Amino acid sequence: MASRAVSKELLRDLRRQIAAIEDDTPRLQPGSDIGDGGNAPTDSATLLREGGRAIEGLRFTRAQRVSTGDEEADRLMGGGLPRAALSEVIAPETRDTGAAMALAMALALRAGPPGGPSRSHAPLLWATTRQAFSEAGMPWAPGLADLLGLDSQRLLVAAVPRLADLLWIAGEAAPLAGLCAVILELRGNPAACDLATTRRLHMRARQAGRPVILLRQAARPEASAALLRLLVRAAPSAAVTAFGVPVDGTIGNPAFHLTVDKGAPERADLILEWNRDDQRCVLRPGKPDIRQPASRSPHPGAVVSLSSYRPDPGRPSWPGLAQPPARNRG
Amino acid sequence: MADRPPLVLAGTIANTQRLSACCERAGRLGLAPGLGLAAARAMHPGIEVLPAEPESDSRFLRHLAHWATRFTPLVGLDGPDGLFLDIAGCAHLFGGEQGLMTEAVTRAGALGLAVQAGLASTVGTAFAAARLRPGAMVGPGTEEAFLAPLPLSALRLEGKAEAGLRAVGLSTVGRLAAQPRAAIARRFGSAVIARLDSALGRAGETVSPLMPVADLSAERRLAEPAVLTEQIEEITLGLARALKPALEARGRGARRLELALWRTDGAVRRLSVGTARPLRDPQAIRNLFRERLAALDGTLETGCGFEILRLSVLASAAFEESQRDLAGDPREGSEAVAAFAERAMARLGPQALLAPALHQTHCPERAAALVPFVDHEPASSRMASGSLASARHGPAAPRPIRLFGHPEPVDAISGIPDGPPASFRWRRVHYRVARAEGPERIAPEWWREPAATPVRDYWRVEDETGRRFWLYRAGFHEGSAPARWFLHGLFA
Repeated sequence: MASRAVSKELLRDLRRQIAAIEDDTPRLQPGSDIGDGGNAPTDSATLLREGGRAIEGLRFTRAQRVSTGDEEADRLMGGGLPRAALSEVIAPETRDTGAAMALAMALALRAGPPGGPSRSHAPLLWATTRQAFSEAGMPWAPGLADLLGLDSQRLLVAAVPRLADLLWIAGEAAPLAGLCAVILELRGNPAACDLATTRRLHMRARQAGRPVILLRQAARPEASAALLRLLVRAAPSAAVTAFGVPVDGTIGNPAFHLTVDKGAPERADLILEWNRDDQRCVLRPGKPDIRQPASRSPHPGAVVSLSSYRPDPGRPSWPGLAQPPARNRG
Repeated sequence: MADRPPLVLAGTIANTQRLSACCERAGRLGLAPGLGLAAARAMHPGIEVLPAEPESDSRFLRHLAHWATRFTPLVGLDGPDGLFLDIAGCAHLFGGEQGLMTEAVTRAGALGLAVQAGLASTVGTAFAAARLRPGAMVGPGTEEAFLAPLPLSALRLEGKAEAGLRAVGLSTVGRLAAQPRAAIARRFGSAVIARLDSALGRAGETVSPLMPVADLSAERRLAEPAVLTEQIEEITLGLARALKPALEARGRGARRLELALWRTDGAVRRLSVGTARPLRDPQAIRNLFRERLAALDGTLETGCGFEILRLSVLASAAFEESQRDLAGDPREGSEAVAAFAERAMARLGPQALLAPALHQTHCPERAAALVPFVDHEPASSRMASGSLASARHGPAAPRPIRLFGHPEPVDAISGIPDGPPASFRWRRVHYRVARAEGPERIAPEWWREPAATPVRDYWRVEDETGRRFWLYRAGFHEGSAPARWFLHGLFA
């Protein structure tokens, strides 16, 4: 009984901290546990597991998630892009920024304007630092019109010199329902964009009812409040087909290699092709081939086991412990 | 101070070290500007000599001109050491012309400056009054009588013309005015006649203002200087309220606003903000200046406080009245976006928020440049020009979604001299090209570029892992010199 009391106290303290971060008074409802009921459509979805494996996926309605256009891809991504939430798209290397940007923008535009089709002129805000601008180039309207059908009238670019200004812009823009989406581009994993900042962005996106996407260049996944986290790399594109036959050596629809890192029942690897005529994603059948190109590994054959691309996640905690180790010591 | 030696400033004038300014005590010793420095030292070995700094003097005079806009917005420079103030319509605020002159002299004295002032209805006569008869007020019609006994230096003549006139015995303005005009113009140039006419009011001459004069402005003089930022914001709100009826009467809204603050010690700060739409709402104007003041982040240097605040509308545009129907305002969301854009620009500068501007050109750098959102044309006018349609349907070849501002040089190897690249090295990483499409030749715009600018052959390439790049070759392989390759953009 004593342990229950402690955990409730802990929970209340955490709630207070979160409320302080969000500049909001805590709305504690007796009897209710985590979440605030009907206000949080994305949090209410339940996942059923049996022996660690998901037997029933998160079932979202069209109102909660934006479909990629392919049902199987949606299932692997946990329903698609969360509509009223913060999502994270990571380009592990700067040179993959083109692919990550295309996917982030494609999904944001598939979401449509928040106020229905009558607001179809709602601009999309692309906020970035000047450093990210010079590292990976600036968004270019003719290419965006060509790939995504984005009217150049609807593109608004905020380019600021400092990260603090970028976060200010993002905080101001995130609650505006007049914007169709807010895409925030960062380089690396700056300390200023921590859990509290992402949580604040997420709450504002939820209020506004449309997506806020955090696009990270040359970054590694880290803890954030985003509901969905995708690692995006470029994948070999489909060949152009003539009379139903693919033509060798041509570059057709772009393809992306996605790793769903957070937000889906299971970590998944998939390859999506962007069909620019139908403006939707198509899942490429078969297991994605994650093999690095031959030029990158001069010594073929596994000598020692390869290290993963991310920091060591650490060992799972010992099952005998009931409390987190930090509290035990205190 | 009495033990300090007399002070003179010396600089190089006509290849000789000459005195350019003397203090009062040096003046009493018989030293005057224009005297050679060696001669002055020989006469009075005890004087202190400092180098003259004409640039600093000119900068100081400009600061003083900014300060003087507290009396009238029309302030112009007069040579290296004078200011013209056009006080038409301003004198009654200071209790008449005499009151204004006294106030200007007293306030300048409080800054530690010894100034001379004169007042007249023509620019030339005002110059003469201030320089030769300080404190004089010359009424309209009496210029001729006032100027007649004055020496020729009253007329702002060139040194050569003045010396020539003096050599023929014309030492006063009255004698010059009595001469036949044609003969004077022939011998000494028409500039002499022009100066004379301007001084006598026969030809109009206006003060050319240092700063553009705002169409509309509201100002408040404070009995107690404002020190706190909140006070400044509140006064700005009051000034914006005062401007609103005037803007309404003209059917205009402000596109560019400036808040000028006069500090008690004579410094002037000017803060300007741009707006994304024509603006009248006092609260919105106050909020913009609140962001602007917050962005200064303590560098406003309030000191002992600001005594005058003036809010000016530097640029305005037609204000579209909107009507709200029962279903709600269709532009409600866009209004909030415009307000956000204004706040961002007020805080971070107009370069912070950009929008693409499309142009009818094949040159990728110019086709869709990002311009500040303020200068962004409204949608309707650009639709009419048709540039949007061409950008969407024009180029058949796919375009990259990210473009580098400056194309980045790469080391590329192509199988055949003008063929597609087989491999390239970008940012110290080697890429092997798996597929390539092209070339798409984009010729330089000969009417803009220098004649030697090479043509570009653009290739769309994909490396082995699927990254897609936009590469171009500038020019062709010629003999042993390989062509240069650049990476210009990233595809999806």
